Amino acid sequence: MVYTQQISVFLENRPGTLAELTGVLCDHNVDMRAMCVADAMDFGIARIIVDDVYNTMTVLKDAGYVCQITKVLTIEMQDEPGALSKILDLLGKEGINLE
Amino acid sequence: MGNYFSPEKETASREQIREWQSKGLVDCVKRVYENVPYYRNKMEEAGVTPDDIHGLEDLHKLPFLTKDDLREAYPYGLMARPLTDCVRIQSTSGTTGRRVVAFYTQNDIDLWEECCARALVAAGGTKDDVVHVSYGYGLFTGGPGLNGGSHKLGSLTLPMSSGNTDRQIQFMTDLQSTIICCTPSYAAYLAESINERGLRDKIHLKAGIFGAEAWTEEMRHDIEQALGIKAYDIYGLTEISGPGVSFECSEQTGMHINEDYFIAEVINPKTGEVLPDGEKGELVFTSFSKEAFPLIRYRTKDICILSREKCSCGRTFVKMTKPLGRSDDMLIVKGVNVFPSQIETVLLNHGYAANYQIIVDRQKNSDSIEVRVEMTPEMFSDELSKITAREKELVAALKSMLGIYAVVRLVEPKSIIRSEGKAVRVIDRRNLYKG
Repeated sequence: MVYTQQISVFLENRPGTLAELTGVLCDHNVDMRAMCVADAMDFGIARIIVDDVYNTMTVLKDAGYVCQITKVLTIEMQDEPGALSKILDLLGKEGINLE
Repeated sequence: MGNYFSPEKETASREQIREWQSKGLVDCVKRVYENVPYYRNKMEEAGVTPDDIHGLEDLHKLPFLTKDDLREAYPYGLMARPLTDCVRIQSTSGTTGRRVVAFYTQNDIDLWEECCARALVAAGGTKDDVVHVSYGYGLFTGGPGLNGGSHKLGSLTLPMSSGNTDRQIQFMTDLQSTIICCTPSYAAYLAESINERGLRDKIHLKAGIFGAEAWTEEMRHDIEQALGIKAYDIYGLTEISGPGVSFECSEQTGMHINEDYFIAEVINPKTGEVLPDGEKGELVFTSFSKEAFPLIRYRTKDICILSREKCSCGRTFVKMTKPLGRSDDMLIVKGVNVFPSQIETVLLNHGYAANYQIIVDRQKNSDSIEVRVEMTPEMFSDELSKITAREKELVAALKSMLGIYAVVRLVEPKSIIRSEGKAVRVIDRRNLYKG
């Protein structure tokens, strides 16, 4: 279990918007470890985990994106049924809410 | 030839009209000079006194009044009568949310109502008509104006105000309304609702008086077809009285200005030079008969053309075209005045930069307004709920400032098109002003 930094990027909800983002990362040789997208109706927030956070932030800001760093907790788990449930149960019992 | 509410006025000779206006102007200038320090100062700065004004020919010597003057003088600075003589106010929103308040004595109300009665008669109205008023009632002059006009005419007035379409249609069919007064976009909406319910045969409308927003000949045609009526235009502004400053007649080729009460000029908006009939320019009014709030050479910012050619209706009052545009950036959306600067103020107050774009559109004759705002690092959050909440906050703040709902769309930085370095702030897709 380790603290890491996640980059959140504001994206409009229109065709090509995610491809444009990954295009920029590719052009700058940024390798993503993980990615997810949270979406509202007109926009979304892409959340990515990369190795060099500060370099990536610079790349994204130069490309005109609005982005932010959030400290997140990463937990390694077994690749088997129930592994995630165990962790979520524990958090739930302690009253910890996942954002 | 047709019916007139005030025949001796509406068909008076040009000489007679000139005489009324000249006398009225001289009297008005004296009253204003004596009772309105704000305008007296302007006159002194221009080196003009009441002694220099002998009639219409001296009108050009007098300084203009603008909306900025009304804002500066808010609320009592332009009143020519004491508060105790006033019986009413009406109000409209000014730029950046600053309101314009107009005051009325009983005579001013009577004058205004007479103008609206003239509009009703020009649309074929008589005391046996049932006048359905769906303009908003309250501070806005639409409802009170046509309400008063209908009273004066002696017709049956239905003070419906705006909204509640079910009720509108119910009364329209049960009480057999014959003349409808509302905004053109509401008329189109009503027509659709009536036709959807298959109630076209149950309505007895013969005419409609539509104003408070720009509408095209195409829209007129659509409304006339959809409701089976003749659709007449009406024009006015709170500063001068309200609706009824001018009104359309059976020819439907422009609106007659009530010249026994208002002097109309058209000027070059950049130089202030008075332009002859037939030339496009900014419409300027002098409401010389008004007692509480007379305005001398008030610049409306509406662009139009004046014409004194003979009209088949027999009226001799000068005709103005529909407004052909604005000399400022004001928009009218859903019948409400909207200034981009108001939207800018809201954005700045909420921590956004003034990087925005306003998109106005009209779908099925109903206006919509979308404000695109660039997301900033300061306003960004990793939490979706926080951003959505901020969006909602903006919608509420805009509703509070403008009086209408605007859709807010957060966009990526630099996505707002800049042309020659300057952002295009307003995109109006409605194409209201055609020729």
